Amino acid sequence: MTGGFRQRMAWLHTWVGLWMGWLLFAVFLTGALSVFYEPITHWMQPERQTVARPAVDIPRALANAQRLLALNAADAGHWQIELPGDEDYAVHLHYDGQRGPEIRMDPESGALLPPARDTAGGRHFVTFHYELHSGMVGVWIVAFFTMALLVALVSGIVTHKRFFADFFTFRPRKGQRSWLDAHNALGVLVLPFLFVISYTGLIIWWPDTMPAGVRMFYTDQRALFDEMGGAHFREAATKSAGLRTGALPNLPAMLADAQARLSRDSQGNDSIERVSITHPGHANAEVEFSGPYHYDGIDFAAARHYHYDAATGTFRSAEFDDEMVGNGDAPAPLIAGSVLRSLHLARFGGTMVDWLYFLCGLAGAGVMATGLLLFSVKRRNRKLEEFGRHSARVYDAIDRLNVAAVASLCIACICFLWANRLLPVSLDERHEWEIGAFFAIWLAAALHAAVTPPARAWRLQLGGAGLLCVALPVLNAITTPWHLGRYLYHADWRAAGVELGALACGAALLWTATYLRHRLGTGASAPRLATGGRR
Amino acid sequence: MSANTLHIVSVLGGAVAGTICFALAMDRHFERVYGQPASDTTVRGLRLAAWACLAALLVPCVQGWGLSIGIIVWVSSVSLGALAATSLLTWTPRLVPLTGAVAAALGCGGWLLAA
Repeated sequence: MTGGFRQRMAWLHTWVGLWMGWLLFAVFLTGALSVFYEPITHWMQPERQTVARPAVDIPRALANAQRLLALNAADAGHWQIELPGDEDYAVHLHYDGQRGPEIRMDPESGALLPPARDTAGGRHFVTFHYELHSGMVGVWIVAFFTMALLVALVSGIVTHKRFFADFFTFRPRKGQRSWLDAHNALGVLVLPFLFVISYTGLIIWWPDTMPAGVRMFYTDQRALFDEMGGAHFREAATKSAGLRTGALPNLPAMLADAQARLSRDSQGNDSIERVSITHPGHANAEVEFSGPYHYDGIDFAAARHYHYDAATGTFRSAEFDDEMVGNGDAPAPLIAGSVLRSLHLARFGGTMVDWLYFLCGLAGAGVMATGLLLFSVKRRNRKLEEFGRHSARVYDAIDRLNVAAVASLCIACICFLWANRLLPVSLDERHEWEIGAFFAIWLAAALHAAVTPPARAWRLQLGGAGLLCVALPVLNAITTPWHLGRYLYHADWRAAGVELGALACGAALLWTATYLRHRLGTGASAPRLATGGRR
Repeated sequence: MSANTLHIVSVLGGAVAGTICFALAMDRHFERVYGQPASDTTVRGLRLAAWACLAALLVPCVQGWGLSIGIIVWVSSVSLGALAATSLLTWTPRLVPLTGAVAAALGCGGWLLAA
């Protein structure tokens, strides 16, 4: 590390970018897919898809649900009735001590419906992108890499300062120059997004990533969250049940009152999502009606809960809570934290913001991928010998790792969706199998990348991922009663969107694969390509 | 079309038009599109048009999404508009002026219809 400021920054950017880029690519790709986790889950549970959605008679659905719960779970301390929503046309029932698959009920007839398949759903991508499915250790790893990303961004601005002269410039088919152009163009144009998404991503985990303050003033994190409003939930759970009366609350009467209150509190939206009954059949039973998260502004997104005395049906209290800032009287720093969290989760602003975040996230993954390739291409053109006499071998290993991090992950992501359709529906802990399939296929593809010359591995793996994407609608048509045409006909945009997205990604991957093959086939000099293996 | 769809059309149109103006205000891109260097007046005019576009773009953003979310929509759509401008300059430089004009028309039209 010698030379002036810019050289030092270039050194920092190169090495931070290289060692961190592999995992950051995975975080950005799965993070971009996370934007659409809900439509992906919807696609992954074909049992919940329906052609007709008759208007639901909610009072009747509630009465049916309560009858079913009284029959099956009379002794449970807590019941929960999830009313039909976007995700499913059926009512979902939960109770304390419940085992086995989900309980779905037809809202009209009260008959039990077959449970939807157990799936990790789009949540898999969300969880993977912030904790790599390994709990707090994963959170710490991703947080560390995110810090490194901020370092890489700042040093990258200094390193690539020519991008101001090269704004809007992309010169294709020029080897290293093209990769540099692509890296600069993508990087600088989505720079605001990259900063915001990495910084807010760190802030979400403030109690864990910046634990000093919490340690100083509280015995542990639970004490902190109790003060923020968490204590309320535990108190409710430990309240005595009172005498057993066997009487069930008159839910429809309370429903009308709760709907009126919700409508008044959230600008006309009266859609109650959930009804919970604590100590059903006992003297101290309480009913809670909960509405959806309502965005009063990004600083306070609260769910409304209305509590009723089950025996008399009288209104007791209303509660507005935010998962981050309790019931709205939080101090300013917590509210600021909640704003940053909302910024990261993109849970506001609807379809437009979803798509902007998705595309910016993909562009971010593109910055990582082009940066990694640039590292390799540059070293193929110039003898840098940064690893002494082992250089050739280390560069070759880096080439192979690039394939394993970028192309193999694309295969694993699409195979996760394939696994959802191919694994037996009755499998025990099926969602774990899906995640297992994701990791197993990633590992297998990475091993393939390790033993295949990189040029060939890029072509095969990108082509393979492309074919799997394009064939996804076919697989769905074979394994379920649904297919793309039927989704479109019934205006199921979420499921159709997943398949159209897979088709678009598949086309892009196949194009890249044939482009690489064509470039090699026409005898273009290998050093000008990211794909030529160096031996 | 719903007001929301019209706002989306308006924002995307404005973002593409604005970033195309910025690109054309750079000598390298102007020459590639028109085959001759731009005069100083033209460059100044294009820069002015670009800033005007981006400033005007804030209006449908804030109308459609409110101030706080509108700013996010503004920043990220300008980013994506710039990526679109880069792609157009790379693969279809001749179509850049026409695309810019159509985008500007969509931007204005969408906003007028939504209002």
